[in-house]
Amino acid sequence: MYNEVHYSEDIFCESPNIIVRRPWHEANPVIDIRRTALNEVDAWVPVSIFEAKIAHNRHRKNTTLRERNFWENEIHIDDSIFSPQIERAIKMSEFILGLPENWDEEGSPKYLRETWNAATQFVRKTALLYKKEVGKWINAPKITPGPDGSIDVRWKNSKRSILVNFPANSITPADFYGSDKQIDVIKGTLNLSSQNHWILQWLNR
Amino acid sequence: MRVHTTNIDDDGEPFPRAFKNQPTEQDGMSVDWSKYTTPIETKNRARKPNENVVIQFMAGNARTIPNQSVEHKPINNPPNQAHSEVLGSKKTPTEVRARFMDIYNIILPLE
Repeated sequence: MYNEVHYSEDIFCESPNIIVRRPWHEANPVIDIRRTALNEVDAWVPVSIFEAKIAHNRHRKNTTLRERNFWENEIHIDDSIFSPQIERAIKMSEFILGLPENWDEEGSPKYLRETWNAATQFVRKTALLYKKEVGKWINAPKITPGPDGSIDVRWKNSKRSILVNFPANSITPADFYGSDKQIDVIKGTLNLSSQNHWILQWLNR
Repeated sequence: MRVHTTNIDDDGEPFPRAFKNQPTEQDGMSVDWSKYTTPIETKNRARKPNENVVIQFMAGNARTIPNQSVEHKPINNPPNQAHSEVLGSKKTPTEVRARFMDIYNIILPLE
């Protein structure tokens, strides 16, 4: 557990056990995920670039214009930790948070950051666990606005697809359905505090 | 069936939420029966045709999705003999939208 903020070197993000570190002397920032306990993958959640930028902006008065530009325009991802394709998909899905009330002129509500966080953290966590199990990254999903403030995450390959819906109400469990369009079907609800990368293993079976 | 650009992703594919009842969940999803119209006529019935994609699916496939039924419901104002509705909840379970995503084809993409 980390509880220090080093303004000039480390940027402490909201997830308590994760530090996004930017050594000033290096060209690229390094995203450093630290675990609270060895082999407890569930104990940590990767921080997003967006969260890192928010954290950075809190302290931006202490930075130079050049440093601000670096963070705002030239953020790089350590692809030994994250899949660049998945991070790009997550980044692209941030538009959901900017949709105003009634954005579709059919009365749809705004999307809550909590819902988006649940969806994107699920994407990262399951992708990381899949990578750990299988040794390669899963393709990026599409993360799109769903009905009633919920968010849909859909993975698809040439044989199968799976859709996971994250409700705006965090009490309601995420609901999923996957199929090969023929006879092989999986469906149900997901406990987001558990390891759910088996659905990606099913997808790529 | 028309899908407006607000429900189309960067690849030109509909969001799963594009399959929805209007104006409320208790109503149906408006579609046109191809027996009585053409894709371009369906597109041109939109307020802004250029902002719409036209997709198609077989009524028989839609009927295999849980709680979905398809009914021919011609309307007079504006006149549309092809108008039909796919009735049944689209929001839950997620299976419904997932299965619509599996059965549709795009026949008129965005221009």
